[in-house]
Amino acid sequence: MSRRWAINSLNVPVRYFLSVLALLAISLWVYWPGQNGPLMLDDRGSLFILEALDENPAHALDYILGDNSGKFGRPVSMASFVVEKIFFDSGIAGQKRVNIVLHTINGLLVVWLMGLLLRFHRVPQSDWFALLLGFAWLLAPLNVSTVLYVVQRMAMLAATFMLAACIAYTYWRQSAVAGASNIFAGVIALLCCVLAPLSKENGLLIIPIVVLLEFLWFRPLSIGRQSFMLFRLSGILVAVGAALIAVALVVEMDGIIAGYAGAGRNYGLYERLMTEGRVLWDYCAQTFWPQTFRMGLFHDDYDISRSLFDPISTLYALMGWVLVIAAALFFSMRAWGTPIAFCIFWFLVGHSMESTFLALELYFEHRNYFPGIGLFLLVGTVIGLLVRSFPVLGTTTLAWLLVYVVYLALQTSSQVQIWSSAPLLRINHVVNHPESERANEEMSIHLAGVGALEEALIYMERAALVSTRERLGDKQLREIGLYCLARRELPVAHLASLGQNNPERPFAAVSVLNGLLGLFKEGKCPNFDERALADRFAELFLHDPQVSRASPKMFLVLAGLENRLQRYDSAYQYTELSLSLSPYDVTGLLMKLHFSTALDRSGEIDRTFRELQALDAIGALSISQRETLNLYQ
Amino acid sequence: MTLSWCLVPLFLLTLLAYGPGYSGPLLFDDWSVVESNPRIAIADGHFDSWRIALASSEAGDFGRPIAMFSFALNQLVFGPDNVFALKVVNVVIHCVVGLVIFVLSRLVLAALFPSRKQSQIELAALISCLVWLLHPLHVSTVLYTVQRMAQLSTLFVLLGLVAYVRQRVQWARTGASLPEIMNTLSWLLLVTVLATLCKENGVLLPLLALVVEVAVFRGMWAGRENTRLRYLLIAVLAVPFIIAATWLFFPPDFVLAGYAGREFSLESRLLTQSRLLWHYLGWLSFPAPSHMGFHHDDILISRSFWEPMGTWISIGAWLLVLLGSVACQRRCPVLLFALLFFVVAHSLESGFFALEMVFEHRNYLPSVGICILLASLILIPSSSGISVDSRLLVLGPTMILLSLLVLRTTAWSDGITLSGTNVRNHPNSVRANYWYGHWLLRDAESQQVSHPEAEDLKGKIIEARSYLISAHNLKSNDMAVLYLLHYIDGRYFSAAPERPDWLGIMASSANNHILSSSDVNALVALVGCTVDKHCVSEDRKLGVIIDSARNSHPRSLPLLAAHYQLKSAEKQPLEQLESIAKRGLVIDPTDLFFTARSFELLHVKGDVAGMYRVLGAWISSDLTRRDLAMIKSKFGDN
Repeated sequence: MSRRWAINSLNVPVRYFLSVLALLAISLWVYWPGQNGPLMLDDRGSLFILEALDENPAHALDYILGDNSGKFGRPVSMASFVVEKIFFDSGIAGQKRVNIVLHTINGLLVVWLMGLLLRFHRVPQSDWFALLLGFAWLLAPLNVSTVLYVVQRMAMLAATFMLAACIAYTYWRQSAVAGASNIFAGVIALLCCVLAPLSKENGLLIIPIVVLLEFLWFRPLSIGRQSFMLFRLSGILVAVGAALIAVALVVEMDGIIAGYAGAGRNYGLYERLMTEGRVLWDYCAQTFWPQTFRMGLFHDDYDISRSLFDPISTLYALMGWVLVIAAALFFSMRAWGTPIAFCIFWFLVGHSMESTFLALELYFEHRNYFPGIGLFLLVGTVIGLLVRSFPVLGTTTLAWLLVYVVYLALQTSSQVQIWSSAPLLRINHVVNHPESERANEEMSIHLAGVGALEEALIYMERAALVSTRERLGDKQLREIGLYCLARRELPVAHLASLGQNNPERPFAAVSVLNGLLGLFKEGKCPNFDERALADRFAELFLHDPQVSRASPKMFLVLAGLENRLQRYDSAYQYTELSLSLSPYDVTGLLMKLHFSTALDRSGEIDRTFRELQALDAIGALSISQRETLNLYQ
Repeated sequence: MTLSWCLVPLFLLTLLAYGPGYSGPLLFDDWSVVESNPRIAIADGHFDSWRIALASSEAGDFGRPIAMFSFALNQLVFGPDNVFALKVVNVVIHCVVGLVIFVLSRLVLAALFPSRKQSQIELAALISCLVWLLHPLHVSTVLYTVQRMAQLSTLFVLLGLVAYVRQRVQWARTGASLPEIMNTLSWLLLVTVLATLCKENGVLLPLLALVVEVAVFRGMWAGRENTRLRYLLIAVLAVPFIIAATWLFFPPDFVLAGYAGREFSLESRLLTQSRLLWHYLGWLSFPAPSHMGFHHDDILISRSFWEPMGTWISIGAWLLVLLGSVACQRRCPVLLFALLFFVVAHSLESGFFALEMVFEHRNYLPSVGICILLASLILIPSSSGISVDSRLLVLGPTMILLSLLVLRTTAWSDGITLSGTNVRNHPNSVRANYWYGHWLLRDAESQQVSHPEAEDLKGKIIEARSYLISAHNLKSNDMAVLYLLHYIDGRYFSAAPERPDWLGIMASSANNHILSSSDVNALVALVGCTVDKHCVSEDRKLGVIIDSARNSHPRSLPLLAAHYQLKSAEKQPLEQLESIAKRGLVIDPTDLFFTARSFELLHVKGDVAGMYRVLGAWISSDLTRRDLAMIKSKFGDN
C-alpha cells in the first residue's frame, strides 16, 4: 500500500513536468515560423540605429542610455537589443526568436505565479489549473502582435520583471509570515521592481500590483502578526496611492489636456477616456474569444467615442465598467471575493497607464500583454473557488480548459503565419482595416516596392483620405518615395506643387522626409534628382525664412539633405532655424559646428564649440557626440 | 478467466475478416476528402499545417476537424498514397468501437436485467459486440475510407454513453448531488462537442442519453422510482420530436433550400425514410449480402402515402411497434430502448435534411441498439429455465456472421469485384450499372497500357458499354452514363455506322431536368475529356450543352469552370477568360479554381497590382484561413 502511494506521488510531478515540456514544445512550435516576419512601425525607428553598432561597438552605452521613447529611457530593453546585436547578431529573425523565447519564459512565469496564488487559496489541482491557464495566456492570439513586433520586447521584458517580482514577493511573504526571513527573495523582488520600469514605463505598475496582491489576494488568510502588519501596510499604501494619483491628476490635468494637442491627436482627453471604455471590452473579448481577422498592428481605424451616445456602445461600455468596478469593490469587502477583486484590478491597473489619461494612441494589442494575465487569473480564480467548493468538478473543468488551450493554439498558429510574411501581413491588415491610414500606407509602400506604382498611389490616396494628422505636403513626399521605390520617374509637376498647400506649415510629420532621405542613402532612388527636391525645399523654407514653418527636427533633416549635396550654406541656414527653436539641441549644435567648419566661419566655430563644451560639462553629450566634438578640438 | 478475454480473438478475427477489403479502392468522397485534398498533406512540419488539415473539409457545419486530423496523421505516418493503411486504421477504429459497445452493452443489460448473473450479462454483451463487429452491413462504413468520420463520431457518442450510464447506475442506487450531476453533464457536453467535431451525428449524444433515461432507468433515483423525474425526462425527449412535428407543417427555409437540387421533395423523403428504416432493420436482422450494396438507388421513392403501398404500411407499422414497445416497456424494456435508440440515432440523417435517400453507413450507430436487443434475447429464455450452451451462443453467430462478412469484404477487394457484385445484387440500379461499366472500362484501359496485345480488351469494352446501355435504359437522362457512352463510342467505335448521338441527348437532357451533382460532374468531365483530346466532341454541341446547363444552374461553379476550360481551349482572348473568372469569384470568392486562374491570367499580363487584388479578395473571403499556406506561397520571396 505504502509502495503504491509512493509511486503515485512520484508520478504526479513527472506527469506534470512532462505536460509542461509538451506544452512548451507546442508553444514554440506554434510561434517559431513567426521569426520570418518583417520589421514593423517603431521597429525601424528604434532598432535601425543599432545597425551603426557594427561600425563602433564602443558606443553601446549610448544606445542603451540614449533611447528617448519613455521617461526612463528603457535602458534594460535597449541593453537587450545591444547585447544581442553585438554577440548574436542574426538579423530580424534573430530578434524575433529572442522575443519568442522570452514569451515562453513569461508563460512559465505565469504558470509559476498562478500555481503559487491558487495554492494559497487551497484550490484543488491548482498546479494543473495554473498550467492550463498559463498556457492559455501563452497561446492567446492577442499576444502575437507583441511577441512578433520586435520593439515590444520592451513590454515583454517589463512583464518578465513584474511577474518575477510577484513571484519573489510571494516567496518572501511566505517566509516572513512563517517568522523566517528569505532575504534572497526580498532582494529579487526589489531588483525586479526596479528593472521593470527600466524596461518600459508600465513596469512602474508593479508597485500597485504587489500592494493589491497583499491587500486583496493574501488578505483572507492574513492570520498572525506579520501577516496582519503586511495587510495594514498594504491598506495604507492603497489609500495613499489612490490619494496621490488623484492629486497628481488634478495638478497635471492642464498638462495632460495640452498633451493631446501637442501629440496632434484628433481626439481629446474625454473622448479618449470614453473610447477606452469600449476598447477595454474589446481587449477582453479578443482575449477570450478571439476574432483573429480583426487582429493586427493597426487599429487607427477604431471608432472614436465623441459622446456617451456616439456611438451608443460607449454608454453601455462605460456602464459595464462601472458595474465591474462596483462588483470588484463589493468582492473586495467579502473574504471569499477578494481574489476575484484582485484579478479585476490586475487588469484595470495593468491598463491604467496606457489606456487612460495620457495622450497615446487609442488601441494597441500589446497593451494587453501584462493586464491579460489578470483575465486568465480571473478565470482560474472563479473556477478555483468553484472547484474548492465542489471538488468533483475539477477534472472535467481541466478537460474543458485543455480543449480551450487547443482552440487558442490553433487560432494563434494562423495569426503567426500571417505575421511570418511581410506581404501577407500587409494585405491582411489592409483587407481587415480598410479605413486604417497606416495599413494603407504600408500597403502602398509594399506595392511600390514590387513595381505596382499605380495601385500603390491608390492606397496612398486612401491613406491620405482617412488621415487626420498629415497634410497634403506629407502625402506628396510619400508619393515621391513611392515613385522612388517603384523606380519610376517623378512627374515634373509633382515637385513644383510640393508644399503649395498650407504654406504656413506645409509638412506635419518629420518621419516622412526622414524616411525619404533614408531611401536616398540606401541608394534606392538612383535616378532621382535630389538637387531639384532640395531646391524646392529651399524655396519653401529659405527664401523667406520663418521658424514657424517647420519643427526643429524638420529643419535638421533638411540640413542633412543639403549636407548630402554638399550645399553647406543652405545646410547652415536650416541648422540656424532649428537652433533658434531649440537652442540647446546637441545634434543641431554639432551640425552647426560641422557646417561652420565647412564654410570656414571661425567665429561661429569657436562659439559653437564652447557651447557644446558647456553642455558636455553638464553631461548632455553621449559618448559618440563627445567623440565627434573632440574631432574639432 | 472472464468472457472479456474473448474480445481479443474477436478483434483479431475482425481484422482478419476485413483483410480482403484492405486492397480495395478509394471511392467517391474519398477522392475529394483524402486523395486529392492538398490541405491534409503535412509537408513542412509547421504546426499550422495541422490547423489547415483540420479545417480542410467542406462537409458539415463544423468541418469535422477531428476526422480530418486522423486522415492527416494517417498520411503522415503511412505515406500519402497508402490506401491500405487508411483501411486498416478504419478497421482498428471499428474494433475499438466494438470494445466500447461491449462495455456499454454490459452496463445497459445489467441495468435492464438486474436479476441476471454477471456471467450471463457478460455473455450477452459479448454477443452484442460480436454481432455488431462482424455484421456485414458495416463493411460499407469501415471500408469506405471517408466514413471514418461516422466511425469516430460513433466512438465518441458511445464513450459518452458509457460514462453517462456508469454514473447513472450509481445514481439509481444512491442518488447524486447537484455538483455530481453538473460534472456528468459537463462531461457529456464535452464528449458531444468532440463527437460533433467528427461528424454532425455527434449532437445526438444528449438525446441518446435521454433514451437511456427513459427506457433503461425510467426515473430510478436513490433506490426508488421517481415518477416526476421520469415524466420530466420523457417530456425533454419529446421536445425534438415536437419540433420535428411542427416542421412537418411549417418546414423552415434552411431545410427546404436543400431540396432545390434534389429529385424528391421533403414529403417524399420523409415518406421514403419510413420504409427505409424497415429496410435497415431487415438488413440488420437478416444480413444477406445480396440485399446490401453501395448503391440503393433502385429503391422506389415514395411519392405519397399510397405510392407505393408499402409507405403507409411502414408508417403504420412504426406507430404500432413504437406504441407496442411503450405499452410493454415494463416486461420488455430492452425493446423500447433498442427502438428508441435506433430511431433517435437515425433522426438526423434519415429525417428532414435533404441528404441522399439511402446509405448503409447511416446504421453504424443506430445498429448498436438493435445488437443489444438481439443479444438480450439470450437473457429472456434463461428465465424460463431453458439453457443453451454459451459456447454455442457465441460460436453460432460468429460463424454465420463471419462467413457473410468475409463474403462481403471479398467483394470490396477491388473496384471491379465491388461494382460487379453491386450490379448483380441491384440490377435495376442506375449507379450500380454505371459504376460497373466505369470500372470495366478503366480496367480495360489500364490493361491496354500495360498489355496492349491482350485479346480480351475489346470484349471488356463491349461489356462495359452494355452495362452503360443498361444504365441508360433505366434512366435516360443520367449525364454520367451519357458521357461515358459518348466517350466509348467516340474512342472505340468511331467507325460504327449508326452511332447514337449521345451529345444530342445530353443537350436535350441539360435543358429538361434538374441536374444532380453527379450530372454536373459528368459535364465537367466531358469538357475535360474533350479539351485533353480523349473525347471527340463537336465544339458547337458541347457549347450548347454547357450553356443549357448553365442557364438552368447559373450559380454552378463547376459548370462555369467547364465553360472556362472550353473557352480557354478555344484560345479565346484573355479578357473573355478574365471576365469568366471574375464571374466565378463573384459567386464564391474562395473558389480555388477561379482564384488560381485569375492569378495566372494576371501573371501572364504582368499585372502585379491585379495579382495582389486577387490575393486580397482571397484573404478576405477565406474566413477559416485554411488557404493561408497557398496564399503565402503565391508571394514567393516578395
